[in-house]
Amino acid sequence: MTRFERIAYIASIVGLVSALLVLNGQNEELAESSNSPVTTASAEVAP
Amino acid sequence: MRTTIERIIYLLVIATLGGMVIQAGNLHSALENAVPVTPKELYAQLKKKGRKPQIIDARALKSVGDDDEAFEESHIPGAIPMPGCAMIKAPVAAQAMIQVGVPTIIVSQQGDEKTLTACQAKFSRARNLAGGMAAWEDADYPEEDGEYLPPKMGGGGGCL
Repeated sequence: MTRFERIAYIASIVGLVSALLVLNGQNEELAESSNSPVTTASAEVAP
Repeated sequence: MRTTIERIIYLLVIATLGGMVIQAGNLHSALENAVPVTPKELYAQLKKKGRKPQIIDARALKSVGDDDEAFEESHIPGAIPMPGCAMIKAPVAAQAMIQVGVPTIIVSQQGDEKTLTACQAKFSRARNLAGGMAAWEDADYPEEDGEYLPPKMGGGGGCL
């Protein structure tokens, strides 16, 4: 295996891990938002 | 021999990670569709330069005497009228602008789930506007009135 090939494999792995981390972070945020009641401008008006 | 094994290991790791990324992406789309967008978030998206979400106004075109406002009385700038998310009810000029596969915000009067469900059958990436047009108006964000006029140069998203 050439050095260039090894670097390409490692770069691909690093890129995929980064994408996975970003997506997981966003998914956690979205999951939290979907569980909490959504605040809207109309809902903020005091009774 | 050793090189071949090393190559196989790298490819297996890449394939596994690729599968996990695809799975996380699918989950992301599903979660995104389930979470409504607030008027504040939508306003921020419309103010930003670049690609904007398509806004579909699923309310009636003209008021028929009930309490709900109609599209022509007031709507979000750039919104495309499509009453009940039925293509046949949309004005001809609007029909040409509607795209089904792009990120779409559904506007109903109160942000009701029934309208969203009907729209999600047509738009694969549809999100509800939380509180609907009523919440947008309460927040004092820009509105337009009158009949639908398509933008002169392409695009179907909102513009402020």
